[in-house]
Amino acid sequence: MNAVFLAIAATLAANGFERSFDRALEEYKAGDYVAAAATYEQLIAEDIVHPAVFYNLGNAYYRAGRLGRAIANYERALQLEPRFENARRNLAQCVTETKRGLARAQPPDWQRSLLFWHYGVAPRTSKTLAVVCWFGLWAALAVRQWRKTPYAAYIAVAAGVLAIAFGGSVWAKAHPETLAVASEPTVPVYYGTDEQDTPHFELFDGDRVVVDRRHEGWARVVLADGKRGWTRSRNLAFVGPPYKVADVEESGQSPPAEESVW
Amino acid sequence: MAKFLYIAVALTALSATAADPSVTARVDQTTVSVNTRFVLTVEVEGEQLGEPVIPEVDGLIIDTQASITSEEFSFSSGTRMRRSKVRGYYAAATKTGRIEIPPIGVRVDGEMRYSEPIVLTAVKGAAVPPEQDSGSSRDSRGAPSGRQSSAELTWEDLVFLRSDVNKNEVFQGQPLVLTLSVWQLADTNLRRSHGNDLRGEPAMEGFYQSEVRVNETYEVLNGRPYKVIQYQRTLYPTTTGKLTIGSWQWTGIVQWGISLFNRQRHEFQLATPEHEILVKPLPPPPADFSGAVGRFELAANVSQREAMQGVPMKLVVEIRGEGNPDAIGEPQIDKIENAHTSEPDREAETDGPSAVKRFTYAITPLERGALTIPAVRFCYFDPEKAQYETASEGPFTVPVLAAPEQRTVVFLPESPDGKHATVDVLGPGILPEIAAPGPLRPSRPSPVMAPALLAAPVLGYVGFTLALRRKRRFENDTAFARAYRARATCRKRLRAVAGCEDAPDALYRALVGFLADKLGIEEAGLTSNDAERALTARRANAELANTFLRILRACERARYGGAQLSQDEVHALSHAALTNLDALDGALGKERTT
Repeated sequence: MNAVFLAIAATLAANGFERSFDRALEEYKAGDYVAAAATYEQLIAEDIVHPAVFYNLGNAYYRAGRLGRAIANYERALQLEPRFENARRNLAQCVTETKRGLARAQPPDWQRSLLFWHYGVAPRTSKTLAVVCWFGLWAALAVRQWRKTPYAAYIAVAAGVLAIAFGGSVWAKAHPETLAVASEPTVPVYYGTDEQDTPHFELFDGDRVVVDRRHEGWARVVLADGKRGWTRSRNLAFVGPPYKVADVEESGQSPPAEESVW
Repeated sequence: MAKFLYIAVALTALSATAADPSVTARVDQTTVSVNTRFVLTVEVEGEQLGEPVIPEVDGLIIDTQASITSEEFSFSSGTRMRRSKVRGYYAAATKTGRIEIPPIGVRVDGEMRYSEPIVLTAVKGAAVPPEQDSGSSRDSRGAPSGRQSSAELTWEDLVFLRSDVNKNEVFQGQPLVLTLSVWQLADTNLRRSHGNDLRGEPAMEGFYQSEVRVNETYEVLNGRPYKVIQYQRTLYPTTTGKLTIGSWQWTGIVQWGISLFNRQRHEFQLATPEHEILVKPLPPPPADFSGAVGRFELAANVSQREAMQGVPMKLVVEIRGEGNPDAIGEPQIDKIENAHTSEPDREAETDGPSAVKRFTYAITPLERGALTIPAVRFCYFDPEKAQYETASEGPFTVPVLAAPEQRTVVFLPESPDGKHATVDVLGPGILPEIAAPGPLRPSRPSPVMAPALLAAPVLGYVGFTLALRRKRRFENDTAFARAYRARATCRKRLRAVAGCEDAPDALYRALVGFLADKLGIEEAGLTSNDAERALTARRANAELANTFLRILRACERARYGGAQLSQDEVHALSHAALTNLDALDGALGKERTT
């Protein structure tokens, strides 16, 4: 009885999410992009992690003139589904509209080619493959116990290697380097965590940076060309995961005191 | 100070333009002091160059190991490479009087070529000021007069400024180049501390300015080498009349001397003169004037020879020439029938006053057949001719194939005339929202899910392995299988005792069978005495063993002694046997054999 009740509750809740999604679509069509973005953000706050939601949220932010936030959400959509061509195209469009069209830091080509099964596969797919290979490993070992099948050992080794590879990929995708996008028209970046300091350089709306340290509302950002500096976290839209704003704030790592300024 | 002269002469040779014949020899002084070094420079040009052959000269010592070497490469006609080689040799006169250096030979492109002979006059006493290079002597715009010899170097010779414009009279919008340069003596004794040279950049009111271009070269002036830092801007006058390019104010500090304790310091406050530019107005423009002033060329091409209905193709119009790229307006294209034409993508490149601007149109044919793109026209003002010119290219005709029926969506920027029966034109910028994402479910990963997924196959494997081992043991170990099944078999047989004709016999066989299975011994012929010995040997619990033996002996008496057992007695014995069985099975459990 309880199971039936839970199933009904889950179905009703799911319908509620889809209704919110439809409402956001209607708001978008009506030109109320800010409201559409708020509705999508609410869905994300309720743990809806779906590439289409991030993509549509990116569109809403783009139409609302929030280029940085749009880019962050297209990045999220691509993080969840690397083959999401619409998101890739819209991201490229947004980047061309940024002031400098800065490229984001990317691993070298050889690395992308060598680890194609990591870079070209969605996290969900990596997870499924890792689980399948893990079960396959033990199944092959069990078969080898049951009957002396000549290829069972090879299959077990292959499944083990693949399980480790995909497992590593899942872990790496769950703990990516923190990507953030400047979400204000100009974002000053300082040598240290002092706003009275002379800015080292400036970021512009939509510039993508890697955040390698967080400390008391400050983030140390690294550009694709290696330039580094500290800026206020509030000026950045963090790509995640996690995707909820509260989670992003909680996940900040505090650097050792002596390293707060470099 | 002589070092300046050597470098100077070498750099003079380096920067000199090519002349016939291809071998040139020169000296930095035609009147030299005896036993004082001077520099003999040989410059060669050609494709394949050998080393100069330095002759022996009476009254002159020439160090044939070149002290100054330089080589430059250039390409002519696109593919042929020209080389320019400069060699500088230290030389000194050993006697006074007239000394002639004979022609110096160099193998150029496989043939020996010779320089002109050089005549020197060697004198005793102090060095004579170097001769001035008339081609590079400074003008009156801020440079020293050049009267000093290298020995009489003044502070003003160390650093000075220049400001030049390439035109003093232009049309409105016509480009002119302003060059500001800092000349700094190329010497290791000199240290110049300065910030941004362009901090005091001249006022340029009334001019649209390009980005500044910085260039660093070496020049020779009055026989001295200078590092020249040039700052160039292309200026486009935006108003007519007399405009002024202001004075360039430059402040800097110069230190002279290598030694830290013997260093002199001088603060400079330099300024260049102003330039007056006369800007003439443009004549009344034609209606299709693009706004560009300069000399331009137009090139247009279509990306495809064949197009498909509904599929965009590119028309690229490139305007190249000297002029303000921001003033190069869109070229004129008449309306293209049966096609949608997008707003162009604009792309500009500049290199000094030269500019290239590309306009890329996406043209989407709407009907099959032949698509004609009318001629592209570009009207500009040519200041050299002082008149408006129109460059044109085209028309272009492209055959258009019919589109597959499914193709109804074209990703193109929106336009007022973009609505067509078979072509749905989407909005500009980004692709649209996704309306049907599939089921949306919260992603709340359970903390036990990952450990469970990791542990489940391992536990399954362990369970499977144990089960498999047990199965194999049952198959291979009969004693184990008998002992394992002894109790169940006995129970089954005891339950069947009540219905048997010879119940004591059935009871006896059930108990003996249990003991034989449990202890792994032969059942046939097993008596109560055998059973007692076996139980004693296994050190079974005495009470349990006695109970078991009593039942067994009661059955024996009934079987062999003729004692008849009533139904109640059989029932009681069976019950006692069942009750005793579990305890005895437990007691003998550890004694299972393999």
